Amino acid sequence: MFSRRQPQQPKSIHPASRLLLDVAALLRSTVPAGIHIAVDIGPDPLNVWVNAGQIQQVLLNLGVNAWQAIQRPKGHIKFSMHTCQVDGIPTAAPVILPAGATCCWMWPTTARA
Amino acid sequence: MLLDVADDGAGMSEAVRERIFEPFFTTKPVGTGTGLGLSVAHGIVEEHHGAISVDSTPGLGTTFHVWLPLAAESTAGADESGFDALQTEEGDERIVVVDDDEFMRFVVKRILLKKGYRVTCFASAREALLAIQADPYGVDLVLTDFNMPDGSGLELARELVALRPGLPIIVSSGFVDDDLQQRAIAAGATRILAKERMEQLGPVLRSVLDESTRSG
Repeated sequence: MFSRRQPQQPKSIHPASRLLLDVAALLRSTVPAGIHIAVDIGPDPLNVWVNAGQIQQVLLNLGVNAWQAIQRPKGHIKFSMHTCQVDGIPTAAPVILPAGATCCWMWPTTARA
Repeated sequence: MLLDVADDGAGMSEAVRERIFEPFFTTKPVGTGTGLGLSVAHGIVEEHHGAISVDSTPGLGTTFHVWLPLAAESTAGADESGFDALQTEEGDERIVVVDDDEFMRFVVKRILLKKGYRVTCFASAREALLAIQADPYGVDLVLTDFNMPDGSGLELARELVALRPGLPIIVSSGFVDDDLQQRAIAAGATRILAKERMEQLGPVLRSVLDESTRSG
């Protein structure tokens, strides 16, 4: 974009559950008590190769957006994680979403999710 | 794998939904920003070879999906640390944080408090300047946003340096280029910090404080 391209940030293996739980706890400590925050980490340990600080920043941002979208004293925010099959997507090809999803915006990348 | 963040809030119209990842797009009035911004979030996720998608129904809520590739099979050596890994650069100095964006104030304050710093936040350059004028030596470092509706971080830096020469000032911005770097240094800022690299906040803050102690 407009920011100068910075060198790649260091990545390491992290349990995705830990990333979600940290962010949910941080959000919990800040939003009003009427906002119910649920976390569903599912049965399987899932590890991701990420820069944890950056990914948590993304999740926290989505969490704060969710809180701001509620616009009422009471509401629900749910963090969840699960596996899905998105095998061998060539860059810029359409992505097939899980049944029921009505995605409107997606950046297809070479990802094996 | 998928990480989902769902709410039962207001939801978004299709027109809004189609634009939310564009740089600078916001449905909010100036001064109540959306923090990191979804375009920056997208950049981060893309750098991880993932993607973001969204489902939203007006009146019912919104779900964001963050798609990330799973790590290779081996689970050995999984790093249990998250934000906690960034908690090493501790200190007890008095930090003034200036940002018109509530989200950024919230995140930065949480991070700095956890490191032991004493933190005071202001939503505008004017408020921060008034407070610091009242007690110029009651602060050890100022971290200010660059782009704020009621006066830029560079203006604030100029005023503060005139008020208290040698005060360490870090200017943060979502968009850092060489031009901004030079203007910030000319205005008296000690360092520039890119907002999407907020994980560098701890090390940068600590090193700026240490340098100022050595030179002062």
